[in-house]
Amino acid sequence: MCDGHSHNHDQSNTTDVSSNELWQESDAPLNELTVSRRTLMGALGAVAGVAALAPLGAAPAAATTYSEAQKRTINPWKPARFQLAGDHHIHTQYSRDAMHTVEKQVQKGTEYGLDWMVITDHGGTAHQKYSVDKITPDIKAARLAHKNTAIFQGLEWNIPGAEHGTVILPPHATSVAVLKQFELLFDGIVLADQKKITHANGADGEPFAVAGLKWLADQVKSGVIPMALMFANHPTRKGLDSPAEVRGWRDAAPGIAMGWEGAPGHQAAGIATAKGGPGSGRGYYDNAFDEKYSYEGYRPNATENPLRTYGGFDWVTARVGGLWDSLLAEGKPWWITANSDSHQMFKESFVGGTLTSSGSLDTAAYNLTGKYADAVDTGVASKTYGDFWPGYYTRTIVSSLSKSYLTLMKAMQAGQILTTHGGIIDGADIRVTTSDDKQGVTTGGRTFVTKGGTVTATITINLASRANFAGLLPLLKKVDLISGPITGPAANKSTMFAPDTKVEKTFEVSQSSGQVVLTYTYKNVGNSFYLRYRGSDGRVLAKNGVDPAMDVSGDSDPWNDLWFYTNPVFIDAV
Amino acid sequence: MTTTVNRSSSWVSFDSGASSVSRSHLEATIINHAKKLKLDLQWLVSFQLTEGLRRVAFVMASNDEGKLQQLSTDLSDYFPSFAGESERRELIEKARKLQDGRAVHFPLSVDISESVSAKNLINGSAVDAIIAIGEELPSDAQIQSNGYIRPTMNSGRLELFVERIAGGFFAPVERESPHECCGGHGPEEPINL
Repeated sequence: MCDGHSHNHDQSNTTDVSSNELWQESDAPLNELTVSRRTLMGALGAVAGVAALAPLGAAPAAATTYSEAQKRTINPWKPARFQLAGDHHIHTQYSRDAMHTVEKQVQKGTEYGLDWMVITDHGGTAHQKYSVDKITPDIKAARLAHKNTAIFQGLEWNIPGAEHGTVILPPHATSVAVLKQFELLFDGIVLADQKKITHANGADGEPFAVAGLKWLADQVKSGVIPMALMFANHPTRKGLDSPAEVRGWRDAAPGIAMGWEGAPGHQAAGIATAKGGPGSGRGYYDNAFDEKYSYEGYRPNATENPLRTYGGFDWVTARVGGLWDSLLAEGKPWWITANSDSHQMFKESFVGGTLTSSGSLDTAAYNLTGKYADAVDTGVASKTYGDFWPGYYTRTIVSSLSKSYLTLMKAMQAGQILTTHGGIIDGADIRVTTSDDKQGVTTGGRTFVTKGGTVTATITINLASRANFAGLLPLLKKVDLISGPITGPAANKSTMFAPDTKVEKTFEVSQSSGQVVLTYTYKNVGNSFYLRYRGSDGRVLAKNGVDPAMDVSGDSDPWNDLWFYTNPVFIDAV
Repeated sequence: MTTTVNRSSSWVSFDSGASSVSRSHLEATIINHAKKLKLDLQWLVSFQLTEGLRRVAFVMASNDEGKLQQLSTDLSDYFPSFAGESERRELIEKARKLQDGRAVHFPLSVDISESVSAKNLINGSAVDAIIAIGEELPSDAQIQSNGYIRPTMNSGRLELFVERIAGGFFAPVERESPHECCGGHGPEEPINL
């Protein structure tokens, strides 16, 4: 029923635009901002006056019928977009476990090739009270100093009852006020400090997570802010994000709760102590199942451990037919990203600027000010830090129509996102056409085919053109095309497997430079399905020779196990 | 050594209700209080309860019925329990039959302070099986235990899940001190009941 082939193209049909075009802060005219400010004050007052869990209006109608097969296309394929590399998970001296200035993180991220960054310090009582206001001028200064880089002021939200998540707002007159109010009302640690919930991870926080996302949706709907996005971070590091919670976030706030980190940060954490690393789990995934807070479905068994990374990616993403696929099988959007989570960098010689007498970050001092003094260079390389600088190892590459903050966010919302580790590829373009849709669609998109027709999936990969920051030229060895049926909304919100999702085809790649075009045709298509790609340098694989292997605790060289993952394309059979 | 499980004559159970106290903090508190009472605790088993709020419960066993009851009373006074009498009895049955739960204390006569061979651990403790995740455990496997082993009960067996680590060793998947994120809160002193 199918055939797959690969051939080389000389001319590029994707353009990695390294334009000097500057970032546009906002698409909205100034007078709109003024109106929004007034609306904000009303909205904030209203929310403060009611119980935080009261229904906050209906969720936006967008995407509610997404899973139904229809004759329409979403994300039509277009050539020559901006391929913008970024990172939505970066910490600074305004986090109680980090130390660098905003300027340093941005300068490093820019040096390592990033076009956009989201600064995401941890939510918390001191952060809400002090840090948000204090970091705002630092971020503005960094925008002025790095005009070719987009710098978002975000938040690493303690999702009540769950893990962390990045909240992204565009630069806007009301954004800082919205962030502060959101954190005050809905951050898990703030709520626990206020004794509104038992613990930031306590299951009694779960309704606050949903209410928080609905509140953000309301700020967008009422025009207070133009957009807001949320991506869950390190989803099963401790097994906290249950499938039902994830579905709850997604369905509470379509267009806002858009996905999770497919790959967590801290990718140097698994480097062996003998090689100067912390010798922990890759991504600091070295936790055990905890009866108090872990979801019961994430217990380890004889064949796998959901609380470990596989090829550097979180188990919920890396496992074919796992939780990510079970979400995609519903036919609803849920996208992946990959970030640095950079706090303290592998082998760097800096330490925090405010330390206790024993040499650790003085969290008591942080709690009083929401900030540490600038990091200090000791001249001695650390042996315990497990992170990489933004852009050094991990990239979230967004295919955007223009270099505007809002357009970039819209592209993220639309799932036009590719994730790479260690510069395994420069970029990739995905185009899925059908016998009914010759233009085709790209990732995050949706197309249709008359039953019995054909679907052609093409991935055009720009192979690595230069050595990565470990000084190695990555060689892509294989690409997996993964596909599975769209079975509609999950009747059981705890569903965490999609048993019919499979690796449809593995392409061997022998070419070492230039562009590779891999095409696969699904013939006589009878049912709606989705597809996605991943690729590897092939050096560390599971015993089946196809899947990523569970990362070895205390001995995972991230540069020796490189992957890229794309987001999916949905195809409706009509 | 599986028969050891039935030697304890007395069993009690409690759950931590809606307390914000973490599992490890609860364990330290129970062990600390047992020491104070000079109670010889043979089994301490943790359970996940998922009705209502997700929470942790414990089952304890000893031959010293009087002191065990004292421990139970002191714990229940401090942590108002959610679980009813029948739910508690059910947990005790599960622990006695090695059906479900995670053992913090269990019969152990072999030195695990640094590393222990798989063979010696099986012979010298209530652990019935050692399972390497995703692979066959080599018969000469060395387990880097670092004094900390938390086997789990499953279908009548006490099982220890291990994973491959650096240097060809294996280690229990549950470590005593995993990386603490977000600045952590440091080690917590046991609660004085």
